[in-house]
Amino acid sequence: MALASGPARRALARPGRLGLGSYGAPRRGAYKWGVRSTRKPEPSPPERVYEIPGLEPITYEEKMHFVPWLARPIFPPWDPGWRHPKFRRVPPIHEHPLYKDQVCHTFHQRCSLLEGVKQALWLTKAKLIEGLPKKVLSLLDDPRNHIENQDERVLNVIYHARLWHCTGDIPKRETYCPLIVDSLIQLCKSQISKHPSLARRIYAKNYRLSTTWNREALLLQVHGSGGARLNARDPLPPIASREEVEATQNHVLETFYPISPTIGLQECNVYDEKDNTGFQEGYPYPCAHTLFLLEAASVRSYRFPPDQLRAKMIMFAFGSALTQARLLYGNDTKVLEQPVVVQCVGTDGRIFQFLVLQLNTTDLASNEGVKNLVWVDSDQLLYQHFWCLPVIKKKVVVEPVGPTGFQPETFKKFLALYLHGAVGAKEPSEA
Amino acid sequence: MALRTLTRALGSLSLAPVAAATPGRSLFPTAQVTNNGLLQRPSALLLPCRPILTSEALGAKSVSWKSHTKYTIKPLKMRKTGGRDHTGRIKVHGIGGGHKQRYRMIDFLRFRPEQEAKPGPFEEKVILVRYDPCRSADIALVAGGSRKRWIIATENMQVGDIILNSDHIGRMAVAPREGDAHPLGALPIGTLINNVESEPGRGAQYIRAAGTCGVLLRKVNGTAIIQLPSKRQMQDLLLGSLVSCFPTSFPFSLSIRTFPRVLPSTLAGFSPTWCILFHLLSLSGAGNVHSNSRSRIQC
Repeated sequence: MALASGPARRALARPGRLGLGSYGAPRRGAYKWGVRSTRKPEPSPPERVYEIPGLEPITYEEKMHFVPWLARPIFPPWDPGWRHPKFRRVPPIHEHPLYKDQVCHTFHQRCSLLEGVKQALWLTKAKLIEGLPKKVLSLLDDPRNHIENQDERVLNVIYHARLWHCTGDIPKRETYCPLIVDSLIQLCKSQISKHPSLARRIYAKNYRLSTTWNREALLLQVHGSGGARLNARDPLPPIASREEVEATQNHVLETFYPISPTIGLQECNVYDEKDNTGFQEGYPYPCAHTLFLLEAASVRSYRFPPDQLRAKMIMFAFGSALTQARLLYGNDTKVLEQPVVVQCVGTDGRIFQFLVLQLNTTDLASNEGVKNLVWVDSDQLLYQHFWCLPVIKKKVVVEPVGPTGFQPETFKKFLALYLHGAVGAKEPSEA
Repeated sequence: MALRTLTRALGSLSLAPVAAATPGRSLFPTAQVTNNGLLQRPSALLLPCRPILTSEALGAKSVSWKSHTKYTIKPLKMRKTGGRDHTGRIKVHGIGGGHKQRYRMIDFLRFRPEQEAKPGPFEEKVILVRYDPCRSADIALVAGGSRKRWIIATENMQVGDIILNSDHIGRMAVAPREGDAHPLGALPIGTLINNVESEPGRGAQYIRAAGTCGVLLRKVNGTAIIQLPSKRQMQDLLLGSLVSCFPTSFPFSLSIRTFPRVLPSTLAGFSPTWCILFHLLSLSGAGNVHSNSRSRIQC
């Protein structure tokens, strides 16, 4: 006892605290974030008189002034009858008309999935295949599909985006990234004379997308805007044959214990379950052909790493495909007779990621059954580096102005994805 | 306000010669003038007057930068005090300057299940181990369920490790693994431990610096005795906070270069019978519980 001091002595003196059945609360809890001035004070409990049922408490309401021995009256919330535009009271979240008890995990354009592509594949019930499908690659090799002076024109596009169009020395990524993509699409459009069905497409920017689906007792939603979309009048033909689609039934989706698949998604209680393609009914170009996602932030920490960018591409392509499938075939969950195909290109102005997604089934709640297919061609460099100013060492130009490590293959794949679905005689798919 | 006291004090001064002076306060001790009824008005020249304030410290509007109330893994901007207190004056000298730092909120309570509805041991995966400018130890970003948090990293923690946070005490002691968190009662004697809490649920407050570790000496009567890095012994509830474990059989060499990692320690948890926390005096003398053990390891 003589050794006990302070809290120990008090604890020994008060034997009541010693005999605790469960853990018992610590004398002082774990550290609480924020200083006292920033922590919201707890609302004071109402007077004890109100706890007694059937009793009418006597308050000082009629007296119109405070009286210490009478109960504090509880007034109904006052409605002034008009709203000042400067002082708007935001009603609590429970009063919102779209509030629901079930939590919805929403994916939007700023969500960075921790596990990247693996997590996106689980959420969309898809199987990954490395490399673009053979149908698209055959378009690549066909010399009829090449543009005249293709390499020279692509180099001009790179020079223009990275050097010529701005008045300063070095343009920022926010300017050159969308410019590169727009210029490359313009280059692809020059093939309209050879393939007239390319005219049945339209390029839309800043579209909105919203779709909801269930996945093993989780409610997931893709809700995004921004980026660009190439819409077409005719849907893309399915890539994988029926046998390949049936073969995906044996594929087991990869899980990543101990991380849950909803990590990185935003939990919302206020959401709308309606599907929204982003375009009104009667829009002449209803089918989504290719999505273009740009990572155009100048600061590296605001840009997504390539894995997270590919995951975002999978989620948005899947969202577009799902809304289109529901529009064509209804909201029932089933295996689709005619799979819906959507393509996606993601870039940060230098590195391109290509993706083709085939939606085979809308039955996403269970882990069994037919899976969707995703072909991904990742990390395709258009050029290694671009010198805006020449590197001069000891009065000798070591690196001239221009791109280094230019790879024409990347633009050929871009063109192949663009021409997919419009080129007349399609190669037979190899089983 | 300083001005008011100043004018009041100055107003009490006057240039006219005084008629009578009080006997005790006379500057001319030989003069024996007694006049008790009159008000004494001291002359302006040499008579003592009320002390006048000529300067006053302004109340400083120093607001703490700690305004975040919700846990987040995003690094927060912090404001350095420079040794100044809330009045704006230097309280501690020698502090100031240094590289700008961003604070990362570290969760010292390891056993904090994501949902209170699901109590029980759970696992987490290490995503990233990085330098923290605010402390000597490195920190690790771990993810479990749908949440991510920062914890103090142990010496050999790598990306992709799975660590266990448990509050369960079995009859047999657990084979300790590095980075795991257990109650003290579940650990074998002799384990090297760090991030110890003095009572369950309090959060780790001891053995958090880089290169430190404590040793679980013995378990007595529902408490455990831990030797802190200062060689001081601490009697702790067996219900302690989680501590990452580092088994004694694991040979490790501490060199100056490998400093920033904290040695793993184990938190012991314990049965809820009684909690007494008191410090036994170490054999070598009284030591500070929070001593930085760097100097010990270097020599």
